[in-house]
Amino acid sequence: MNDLKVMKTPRIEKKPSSLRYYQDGPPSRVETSAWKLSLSYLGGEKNFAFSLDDIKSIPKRVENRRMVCVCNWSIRRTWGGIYLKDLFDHAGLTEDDYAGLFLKQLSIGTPEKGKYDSTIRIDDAIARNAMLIYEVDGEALPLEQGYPLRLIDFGLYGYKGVKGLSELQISTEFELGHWEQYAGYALEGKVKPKKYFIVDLKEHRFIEKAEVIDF
Amino acid sequence: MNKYGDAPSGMTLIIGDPFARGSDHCPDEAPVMEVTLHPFFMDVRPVLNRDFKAFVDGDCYQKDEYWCEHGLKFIRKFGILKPLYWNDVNWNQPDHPVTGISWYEASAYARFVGKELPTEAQWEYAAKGNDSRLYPWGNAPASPKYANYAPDCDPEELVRRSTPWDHHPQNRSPFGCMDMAGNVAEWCKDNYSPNYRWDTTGINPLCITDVTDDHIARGGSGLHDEDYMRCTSRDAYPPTVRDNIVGFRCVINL
Repeated sequence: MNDLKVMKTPRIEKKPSSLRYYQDGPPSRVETSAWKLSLSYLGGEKNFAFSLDDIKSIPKRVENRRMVCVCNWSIRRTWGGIYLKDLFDHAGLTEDDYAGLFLKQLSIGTPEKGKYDSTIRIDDAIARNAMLIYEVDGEALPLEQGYPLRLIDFGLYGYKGVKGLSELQISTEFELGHWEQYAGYALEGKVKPKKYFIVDLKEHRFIEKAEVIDF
Repeated sequence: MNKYGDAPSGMTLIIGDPFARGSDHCPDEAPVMEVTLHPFFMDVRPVLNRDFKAFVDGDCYQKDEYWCEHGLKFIRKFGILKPLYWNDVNWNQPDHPVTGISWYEASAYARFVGKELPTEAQWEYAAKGNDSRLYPWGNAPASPKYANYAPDCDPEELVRRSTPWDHHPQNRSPFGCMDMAGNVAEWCKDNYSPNYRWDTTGINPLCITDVTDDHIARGGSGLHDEDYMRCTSRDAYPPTVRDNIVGFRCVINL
């Protein structure tokens, strides 16, 4: 049970807009009671659907962690949600079920632009305690930051985690997602060692690798 | 008349004493080392949309001779026949730097016009010359007067756009190269290295690991803050990246 006192992220007003990276733009609104996160296993061998209440019934984790954007900035915030593994456990999936497989994430989408997607390695995501997030800094995710749910694997750039999730697919394919196909970004999406602008510290620092735990 | 002859149209001669490459601003800019470069010609301005048009109109995306093996494979796989923002009015104006082009496309265009991408050392020397200036224009703090960039990496406009190559007349290096800071970062030949310890000679240095590894992009862009505009600042992306943050200029090695 987490009892972390949530404080405002320093310089949060200076965080670059999430809209720039929300490919389809957020939906104009999400009807929470109607929203479901669907999870499919190997093309439909098993199928699950979770409401936001279902996800919130799983013990919440509140963790202060640093995410890194491929656009050279990084911010440490307090994220509330569950581990990806917690969802798999809740669905009765074991490590044997998903070892070596991939997770494709799809967004809710918009009528104008459709959905966008990203695929990540499940083993790495589980090992790094990737999170399915519904709160940031103690409040529900804003629409532009991915309400009602987003995924972050903190060892990867932010573009590898979809905002405004609607669907997770466990599959055998490491598919190219939107940002890879559209703008040529790397499929693996691992945070590369180089300099980044640390928004919450207002300085530049060299990040050797992620997940960043040094600062 | 110098022994290298007149610079071709749109280019300038980069020549001078050995210079101090790098800085202590960031671990990847170290160690500072004296570097000697053979003279070369460099484009005064980045390659513009109106320049790149000849490449597109000449069907050069379909002409194998301009492409390396990996570049050809990349553009064929994705059916790429023009820059990503070629039809976007925010990025495709004739006098704006071409953008939305991968390192492969930049290299192919360079080959098309009989030039090359600069090495990282060439780019840095062209940007700062022989003094220790922070930015191509000198040490005056960055401001929108000097360049198109984003304080705090957060551009004012959500829908960004490039600016003409001569929009900031003071964005000029000691050699007269324009628009090296901000707007779009510029692809260099080198692969990225986390420091300069690989360089044991300092003579015409070039770091090549593999064409598919990340390549250097110098000068910062409209999406990045002033730190990326420093003459010694380094950034890098996979050679496949075609976002509106990269462009390039060319050199002729003498």
